[in-house]
Amino acid sequence: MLPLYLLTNAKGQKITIELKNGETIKGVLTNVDNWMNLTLSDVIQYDSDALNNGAEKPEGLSVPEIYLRGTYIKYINLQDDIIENVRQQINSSSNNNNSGSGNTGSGGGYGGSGQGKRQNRYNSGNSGNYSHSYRRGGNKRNYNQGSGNRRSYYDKVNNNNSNNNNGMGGYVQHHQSGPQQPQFNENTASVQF
Amino acid sequence: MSSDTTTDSSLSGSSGVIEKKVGHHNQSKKISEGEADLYLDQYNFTTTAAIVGSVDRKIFVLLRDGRMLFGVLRTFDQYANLILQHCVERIYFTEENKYAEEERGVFMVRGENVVMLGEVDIDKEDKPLETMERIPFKEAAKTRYNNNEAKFKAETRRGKELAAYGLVYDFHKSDMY
Repeated sequence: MLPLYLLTNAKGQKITIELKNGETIKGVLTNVDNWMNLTLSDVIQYDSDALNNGAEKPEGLSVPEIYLRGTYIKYINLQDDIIENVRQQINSSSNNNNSGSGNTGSGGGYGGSGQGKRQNRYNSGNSGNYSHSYRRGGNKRNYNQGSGNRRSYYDKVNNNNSNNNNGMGGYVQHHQSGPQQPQFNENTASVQF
Repeated sequence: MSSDTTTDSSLSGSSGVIEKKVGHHNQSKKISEGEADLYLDQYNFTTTAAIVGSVDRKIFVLLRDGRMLFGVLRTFDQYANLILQHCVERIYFTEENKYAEEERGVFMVRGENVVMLGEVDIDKEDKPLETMERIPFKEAAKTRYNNNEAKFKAETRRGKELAAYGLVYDFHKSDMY
């Protein structure tokens, strides 16, 4: 998963941002976009370097809501549990995927029922054309057969077109190889070089 | 399922290979994740893809403001935006043989602010710290702040002197590394 994808999944969490000029902003993340522009609520804004120069009790300015341009960010301090949370989300949704990509692999009715409420609907709206053409490409490269772990390019296209919120992070790829993750199934391992 | 790419068969020694047909040009082969790693190692990636090998390893990051962060690299993107887990910020004062550190949790660093990063050998990283004196982080942060201010003043003065000779000396307050 990409860093921005993680950030989009941190909505509603309390985060701390340091700007390039040294100012610190604490608040609850309400929205993020592709440029890392943020909107925050319940914000406290601290002066430049107030927290860094060792001042005993830095005074903050309380603001109910704030919009922050992404280019001014130096770094963001996220909640400790964010990575674990997002990983669980992905795992649970990729389990749903398994049935879906199974269907596509067999050439069966991937345009079937609108399964679930989010992510990877194979049949939403006007994305039919795209998904058909990309599907052929995908199969040719054996890109999306039975690998529940990896989200295929074809899924991504679907997501972007079907306008559900998973499109933000784009192609989700697990960099991790923890034991709890669905491993590559050698029988149907789908990436070839 | 066949590809015309030829892979070095020595790669497949690692793990979990169930099918392997080594042909001259036509090789049908399933690769495991470990093999994929080995395969990646063969390429010399340039630009940010070069850090793909450091994922899930402990790395050190130097930021433009002079901060040093140590943490486990979880993910990155083409801008070198980084996610660091179990992040620790350290301040070193090598002359006084002192250091300070503070836990920072999960960190997302915007790529623009990264000067350099590299893998840390976790067996050796604590060695130099044993001989150094640890001081409270607040104190260290204050010292660093004062040092930076002093440096900024000195550099500005230097810039002015050089300007008198018609020389341009670029110094920005954000470049404290």
